[in-house]
Amino acid sequence: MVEIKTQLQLCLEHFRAGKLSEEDLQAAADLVNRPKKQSILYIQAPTTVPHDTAIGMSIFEEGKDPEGVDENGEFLYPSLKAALEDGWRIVKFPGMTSGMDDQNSYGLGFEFVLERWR
Amino acid sequence: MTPKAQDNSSPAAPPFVRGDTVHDCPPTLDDQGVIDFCRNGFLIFPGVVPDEINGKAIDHVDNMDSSSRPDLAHTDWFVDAVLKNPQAAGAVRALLGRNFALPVKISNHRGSLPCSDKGGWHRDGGAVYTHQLEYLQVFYYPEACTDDMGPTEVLPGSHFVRTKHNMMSHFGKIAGTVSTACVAGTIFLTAYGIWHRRTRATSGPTGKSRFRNLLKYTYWRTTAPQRDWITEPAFDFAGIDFSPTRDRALFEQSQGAIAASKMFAWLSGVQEQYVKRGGPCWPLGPVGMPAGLQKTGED
Repeated sequence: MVEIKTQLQLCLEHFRAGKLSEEDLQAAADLVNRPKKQSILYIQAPTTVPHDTAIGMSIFEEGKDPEGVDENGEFLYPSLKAALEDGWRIVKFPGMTSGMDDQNSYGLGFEFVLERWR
Repeated sequence: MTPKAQDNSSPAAPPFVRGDTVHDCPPTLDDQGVIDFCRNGFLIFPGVVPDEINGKAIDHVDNMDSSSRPDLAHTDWFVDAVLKNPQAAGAVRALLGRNFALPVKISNHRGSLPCSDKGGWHRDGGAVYTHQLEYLQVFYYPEACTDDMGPTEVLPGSHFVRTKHNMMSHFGKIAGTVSTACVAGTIFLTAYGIWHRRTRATSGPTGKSRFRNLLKYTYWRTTAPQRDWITEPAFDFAGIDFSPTRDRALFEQSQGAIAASKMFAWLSGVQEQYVKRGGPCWPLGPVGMPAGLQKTGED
């Protein structure tokens, strides 16, 4: 899905080149009107600190590899802090239930769920 | 609701035989090897099966209409060279004791090349959370499996981390995983409950088979555990680091080491002597170490 910003950038380039078309502008207008979609980012961290490093990641967003990695196989964000700085918003903090049993380990670290709308 | 962890294993681990064939051979692991297995939940033996056997195994699985369950468990050349492979079976012998039961079923995780889908993170069905090592899940690559052929990856230490298969479905990349990419004839042993998955295969059809073949089977304990692997009387357990490599990320402080040491004490047959009192006692310190693990001449 083309983002509004991307389409407007294309319009600007076409305008500068003297070839801006009605279709270009209509495409931008259609993007403004389309319903936004929620993207989900899971980040597992070693602690409950909301800026901690990532030990696990997955992303559910159109056009993205759900693995949560870049072209080099590295995490899209090295930390929760980096994701927040890129506009993601935490919508679920790690559950504390498993922490009530401190003699056993449950799940993959502490899981934060983040969202953004596009 | 606060989760209540339960140890679902049998308290006395009575001997039993599953299947009709048992095997014994010299153990190939020493104390450190057993400890490494307890810590990480897997051991890899690169290229231990001869090329001739690897070729026969590939021919066998390639010539089956459905290779999901090749009937190799009762094929003599496969049993002798793979299931009873001296190095790999010697490790099984070290971990499961004398006269361990041989596999009764061989499965093949045969993957097309390329394959964009990753197998999701999972523990295999039927896993039991316990430090009592009653069985081993073992894998065999008859052909080389490079990183672009979708080798299985494992998460060290995860055999002690409780979760459910369906609660892992959204996991993606996890830091600290280990790829089992390897040369032909590699066998790797795992604690059954270890977290693992197939990785993405980006290569085209390659190798003799043109597929990724990964054969899987299970061995079983038939005798009570005891420290009858390769031992050194002077081995100092007081200084051993039992922590899994992912200790900080996966575990409450030191719980990974405690879980691994508990498994080791059970395997050594000295579980009754091991009482975790809390604080910096064994394995975090020398106090409370089972007497059966103390160096000769120690109190």
